[in-house]
Amino acid sequence: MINIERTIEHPLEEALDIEPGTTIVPVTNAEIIQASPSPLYDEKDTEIDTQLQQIYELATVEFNNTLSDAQFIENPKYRVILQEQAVGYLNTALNAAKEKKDFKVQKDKLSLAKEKVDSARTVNNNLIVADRNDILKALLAQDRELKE
Amino acid sequence: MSSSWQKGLYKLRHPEKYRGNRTSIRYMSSWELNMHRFLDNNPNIIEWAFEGLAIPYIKPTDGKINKYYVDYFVKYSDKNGNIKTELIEVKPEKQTKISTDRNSKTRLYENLTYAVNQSKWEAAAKFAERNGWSFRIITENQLFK
Repeated sequence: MINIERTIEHPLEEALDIEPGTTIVPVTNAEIIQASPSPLYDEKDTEIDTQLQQIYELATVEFNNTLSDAQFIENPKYRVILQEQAVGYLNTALNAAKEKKDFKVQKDKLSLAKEKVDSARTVNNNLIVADRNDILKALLAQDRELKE
Repeated sequence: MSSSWQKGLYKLRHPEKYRGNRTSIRYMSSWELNMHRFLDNNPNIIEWAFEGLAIPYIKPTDGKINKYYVDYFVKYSDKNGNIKTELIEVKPEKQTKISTDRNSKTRLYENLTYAVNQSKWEAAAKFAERNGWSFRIITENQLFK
């Protein structure tokens, strides 16, 4: 994390007749580590992932806005309606996050299964490290190669 | 997500400017958080306090004396170097006008709130004048231009 400060123009500077561009804001720049893209991800997967991310971001922004607006409603009846609406947005965000998680879990599972099959095919001169099914698959593959 | 929940305790970056209990400065909305951040981080703001001043006023609905905690007390230096002191109330634009809602019950409720607010603001303006300060209402139009 890199913490820096920068000055911005705040709308209240004009309202209070203060020197413009003097408001200092702390900016925290998180170091973004790019994950290596999974070889199983194709363009469609990326599109789905982007769409889910957009839904998540929109829902969280709307949740914050609706909740902020609700603070200023003095009539409890209408405040509750807005708060319920905010909870709805939060559920949407949660569902999008869950979908993204499930999507990743499924891809990771597929990736692991693929790695397992690939590693079982690598036969050392003396030793094969694999489970029973993988050994059988490897033997079958060897048989096929010999027959061909 | 920007500050995930717009409700909580504000942590001061410049505690020397704050007048009042520095450990319990709360905010109940993104509007208040925005104001807190501006007052705390602008070097032209000399002193500020949140809900630190109680002004007595007569509530028009029951005729009794109540206390009005004005949102902000702010002492600042303007761009010409003049030191000014203001009492600031943050309110949605809608609540600073007479209600024109189509629903008669809502209109009545909103106009009662408006009448109470008017009494509060008149008392605050007089209080500020007596002390050589000024009073102003800041709405979303000034806060999020």
